[in-house]
Amino acid sequence: MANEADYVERFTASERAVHLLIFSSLIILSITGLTLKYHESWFAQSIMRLEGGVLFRGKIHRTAAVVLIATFAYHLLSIMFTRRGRDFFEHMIVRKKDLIDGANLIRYNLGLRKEKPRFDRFSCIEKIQYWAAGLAVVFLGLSGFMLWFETLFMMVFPKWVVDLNHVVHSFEATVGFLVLVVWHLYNVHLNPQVFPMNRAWLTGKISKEEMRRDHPLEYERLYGNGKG
Amino acid sequence: MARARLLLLLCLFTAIPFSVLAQEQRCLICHGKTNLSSRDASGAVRSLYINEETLRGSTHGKLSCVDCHLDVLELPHARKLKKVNCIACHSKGRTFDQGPAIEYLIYRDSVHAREQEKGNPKAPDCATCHGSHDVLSHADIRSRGYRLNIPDRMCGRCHGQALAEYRKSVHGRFTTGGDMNPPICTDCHTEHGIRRTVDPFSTVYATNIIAMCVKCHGDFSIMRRYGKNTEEVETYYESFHGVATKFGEKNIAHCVSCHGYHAIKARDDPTSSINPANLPKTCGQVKCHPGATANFAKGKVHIDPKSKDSGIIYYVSFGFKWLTITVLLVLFIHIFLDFMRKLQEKRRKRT
Repeated sequence: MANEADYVERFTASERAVHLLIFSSLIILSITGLTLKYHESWFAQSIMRLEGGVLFRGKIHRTAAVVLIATFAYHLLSIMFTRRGRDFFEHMIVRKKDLIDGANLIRYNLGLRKEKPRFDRFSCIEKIQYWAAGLAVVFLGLSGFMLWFETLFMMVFPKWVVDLNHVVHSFEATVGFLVLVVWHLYNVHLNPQVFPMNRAWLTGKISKEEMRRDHPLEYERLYGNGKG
Repeated sequence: MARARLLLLLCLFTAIPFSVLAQEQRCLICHGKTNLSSRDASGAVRSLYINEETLRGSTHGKLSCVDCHLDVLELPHARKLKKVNCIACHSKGRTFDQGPAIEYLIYRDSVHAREQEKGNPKAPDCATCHGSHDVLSHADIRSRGYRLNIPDRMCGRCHGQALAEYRKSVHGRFTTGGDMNPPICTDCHTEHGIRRTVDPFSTVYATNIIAMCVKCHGDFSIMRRYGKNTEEVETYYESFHGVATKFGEKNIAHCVSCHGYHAIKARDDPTSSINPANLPKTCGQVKCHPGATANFAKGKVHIDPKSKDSGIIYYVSFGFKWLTITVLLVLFIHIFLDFMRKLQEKRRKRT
């Protein structure tokens, strides 16, 4: 296990940096957003003070949003202009196999199926999370800009559209936050196979054993049929 | 002996009131004349006539002149008497059967008292508002302090413009018509402790004024008499404006930022600041949303996403609520099954 050769690089330094920037800006966005949404609760009352009041809280929120959007743009550029990025994205595209894998995974978990679906570089769950996060950044970013430049938007849109947008932004963000916290943190922390934590986000490495277990198709593509 | 003592007591008890009366009569020898007057420091003529009937009918009708004008010790008295010190009695109580009156202590911190300390001759003291020889209980309809008389006969005598604006407002129209419920000056500004708008301890300070409006507008039992409900208050507290003011931001819209203060008017009044035609101007104030267009008036202002009146906003947030619940439920089931299975896998591997 301790041997260097037993490990394969899964995330490059740049990909890890993207992950770090995304999750730290998301944590800040969630905290500042939730304190506004649940302003009546006791935790919001105490956090609001740490955030320097309602208006400064807004400034923090928008700064974090800019960081997130910049990171997102960097990721898009790397997909467009680097070979590794394109490769990463190609493996992320949702295919028919993912639907079958998803259905099989449920059946497997329910005990209706003996063997686990065999995943490639990214499992169907990882794909859902990637695309959900990406779309969330796009939608929340757009509605966020609409709230940021309210008066400008209201030159074109009536007030009720902005009000609707406010409600949508807040609910979308809440759903996104809950999915992220519950699902992603389960997969990389509480999941009995990786507990207490999947270290790939820090080291960027995955052990061959883990790869054979969680991404058998990728393993076979790289090292042949199970002989390592 | 006993009889003589009784007689003495009887004489004494009958003599005192007579002597008081006799004393009053002596004051009224001069002050009972309608043309008695003098010139004050600025040269204005000031009547010194006292209408005995008014005085006897006032709450102080049983007192004698020298009970208040303590520096009259002999006749003729000094040309210039000291101002009557109401506190000499009223620090002990408003009437004799009540506890000490704190009104003076409250007044001492008010803008009126502070101006007076600075030597502003226009600043009011007790008598400016309450009157002098004609003080009546505030329950008396002829009194200056009677609820419906306060705007005209107390505050409005100096604050003329505020009074004129108030009389044209929704509140002022109701009180002019004799309705006791709508607010008069003192309901928002308080009575004795009036402070400047910029004073953080003032009831009309930016972050405090909301509480003044909510006293009535948050009370359904009052609002329903006027065919209104309290949703404006609840929705304000839920809005960004409301949250920001709740956490102490002073430059965020509160009730009066949009509705005005003395000249609050109904939405359908064309001169109202919240009339749809005027909303762009009201919202577009330099420190708020400069460049606001007519689009600011298109849509409900006080929106409650939980109420069906909000239309699409209600249905969208209703949909989102159930979406959130469903997503979470599915997620938890999935995670539970996945967890159990993985635990099983792990155990199998170990054994």
